[in-house]
Amino acid sequence: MEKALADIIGIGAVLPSPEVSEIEFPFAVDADAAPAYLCEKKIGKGILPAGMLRRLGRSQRMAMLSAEDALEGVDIESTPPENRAICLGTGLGELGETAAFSENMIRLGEKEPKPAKFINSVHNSLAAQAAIRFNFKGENHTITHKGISFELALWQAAVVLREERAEVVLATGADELSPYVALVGKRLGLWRQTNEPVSPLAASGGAASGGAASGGAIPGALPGEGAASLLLKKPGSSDNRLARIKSLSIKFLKENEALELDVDTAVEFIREAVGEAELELDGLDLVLLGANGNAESDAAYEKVIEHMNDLSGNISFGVYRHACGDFFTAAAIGLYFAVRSIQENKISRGKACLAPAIKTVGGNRPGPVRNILLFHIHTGGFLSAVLVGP
Amino acid sequence: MPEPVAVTGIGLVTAVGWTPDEVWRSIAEGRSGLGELTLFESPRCGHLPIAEVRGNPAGRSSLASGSRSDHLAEYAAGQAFKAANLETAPRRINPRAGVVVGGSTGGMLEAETFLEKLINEREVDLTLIEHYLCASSTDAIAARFGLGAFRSTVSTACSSSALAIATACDVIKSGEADVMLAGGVDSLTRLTLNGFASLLIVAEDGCRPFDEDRKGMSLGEGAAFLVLENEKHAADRGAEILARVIGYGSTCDSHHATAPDPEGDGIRRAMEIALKDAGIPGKDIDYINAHGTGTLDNDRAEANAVLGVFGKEIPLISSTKRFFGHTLAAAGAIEAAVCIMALRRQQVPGNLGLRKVEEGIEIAPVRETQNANLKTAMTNSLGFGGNNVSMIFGLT
Repeated sequence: MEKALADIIGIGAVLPSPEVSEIEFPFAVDADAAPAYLCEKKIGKGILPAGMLRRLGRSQRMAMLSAEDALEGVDIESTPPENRAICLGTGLGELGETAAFSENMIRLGEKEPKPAKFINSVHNSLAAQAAIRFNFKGENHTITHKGISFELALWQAAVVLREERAEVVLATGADELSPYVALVGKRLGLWRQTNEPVSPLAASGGAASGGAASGGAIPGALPGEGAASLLLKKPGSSDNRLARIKSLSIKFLKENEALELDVDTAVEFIREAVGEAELELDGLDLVLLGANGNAESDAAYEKVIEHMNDLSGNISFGVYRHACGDFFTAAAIGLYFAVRSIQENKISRGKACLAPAIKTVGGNRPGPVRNILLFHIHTGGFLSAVLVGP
Repeated sequence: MPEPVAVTGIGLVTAVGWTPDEVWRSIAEGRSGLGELTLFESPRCGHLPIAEVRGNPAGRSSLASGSRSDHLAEYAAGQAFKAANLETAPRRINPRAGVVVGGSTGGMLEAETFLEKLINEREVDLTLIEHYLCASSTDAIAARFGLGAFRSTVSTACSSSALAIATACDVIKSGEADVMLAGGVDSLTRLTLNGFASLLIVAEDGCRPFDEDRKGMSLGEGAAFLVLENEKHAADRGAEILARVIGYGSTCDSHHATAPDPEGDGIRRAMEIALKDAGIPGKDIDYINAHGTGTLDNDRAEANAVLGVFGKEIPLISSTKRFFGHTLAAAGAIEAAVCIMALRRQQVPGNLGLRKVEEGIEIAPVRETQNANLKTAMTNSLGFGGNNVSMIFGLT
């Protein structure tokens, strides 16, 4: 008996441009700017009311627009507002507004602080603004735990549905790229400084790179930003599902254990996650990986690919972070692409993205896409696996 | 009725004490922790009384490094673990124990110095933001106490730690852990001090919840943690059960970014859901620890909600915010600990600072700490974004 967690009845996303842009640093240190994947500057212009645009910060707008997309065409009014919940994951919350308030406070010697920026500074301002706009009066969770924030929000959404504490749950992952993140990441050596597009797994020298699209790819990740939302209902409660979350597994490791991952542990974790849905590894049409182009973390994914290929030669692998860059809740974008692929029964090319949303890696190419496993090795010390199917 | 979750340990740090006993002594004596801000320099020093934790958290915690929030959290969590008779220096990771922390400021205090150096000296001192994320406290606690089952960080402003406790109960009820450490922390920061001041809701004479002359809130800092356990697990290891989480409810106002729904619709629904979850009628609640911040809007909305749920049979009620200030993300857990201490001691904390209840607020808070026959206690938490949580603790 399959123990599905949720039916997905709506999806939406805000994606950055596939072209590498430059984000400007707030202060003249190191350099003036750094390469990054960025959403449009005035995000939401022409879509959100002018007053709202002025009032809201960047990640609030991203979360709201992705939610608006997910709600489009769904008869949400038939569900009482008290039965509509939100579970949102964000790694950094409304960092832009927080930084603006603090900068102003320091420059002006704590005189005349701006209340609007302070109001937006709380992490839950993203979920709160969405709740106000879409009249969601049920539970309202915001989880902020590094790279696993979105998956934990998804876990909470599944609990809320299972316990029948809400009829519908909006599960969102959203993070903006602040200049501070770019600056700090640069200092920490997290991101490369060239404007070449990112090619996850293409340059790590493992089995996957042989089949990757771009030869001569440069190793390294680039920061990005974006948001994705999924509207969820209890399994079997909707006639209009786009896809189904069949299982969600999270493994909590020590903080620095992820990169030195024992490959047997990882593959066993994947096998168990798939087994939760009564499937074998052979039943997977695609394993979508969170590889980001960073040589060290991509190498961990390569080991997993090799080991899984040894166990079953038929598994196809794909990556997606070339389409959104690296940020704490990018897994939400991966899930968005996975659901679109299931809808289309083939690898999604993404409506808001010129580049293919998912690139296949390694030798195998998937046929019709039914079961996709989204697998992440988060450097904060977590493994996550989300299995989605039709 | 669902199986309740057992509470087997509590730990807390506030401006009025570093242990539950010290905190309760202040409550019994009616002594407020509000005083002058010494933690950092600010033009607001001297004007606004603040509930600052005195002493050096870094000197008391076992962490080699961390933000002020991390140290406060680790110290409170360690107390809770010790009180629950759990091993505080485990040699192995416990795959059946986890942690959920509610936080909103994280390492912001140190990040403000980072920003100051960057703006004024163009210096990028990464050590100051090493522990910036709220998740830093969670990960530090998980590593320190070997908690391998589940770890998460909840950030819903002033209801964060109440929701963290509710989340931890969800984890136990889901069967994903037997033991959960749950609570919250927030340290004072320039951001919150100036932010609340910019909203003109900080009282120059200190908060006076529900009083007719109240002028607003008072900021505080602190941390509190509960050890929560699957009841069978607690019984099997012979742990003393201090209280039980018998119900909780959570809602959103969907009304305004900061102001609560004036009728208190959201917190009323949260209380009703908590009662339904506990399977008890309102008349079975013996004490309510109100969110009671002392702002005009909050106190009126909450009083309306209490009236809406309990009608003429309002339980004993008080706000304890003047004792330790509004500790923001930590408030829910601190007040949960207060409820459990009240149940254990059979005493209701006084609503410190109350002189005369505002006309129109139809509740009568307990003025001084007093003895009472208590079997259940409810605590309310309201946060920015209209985020409401109500929790009920019971002795049985």
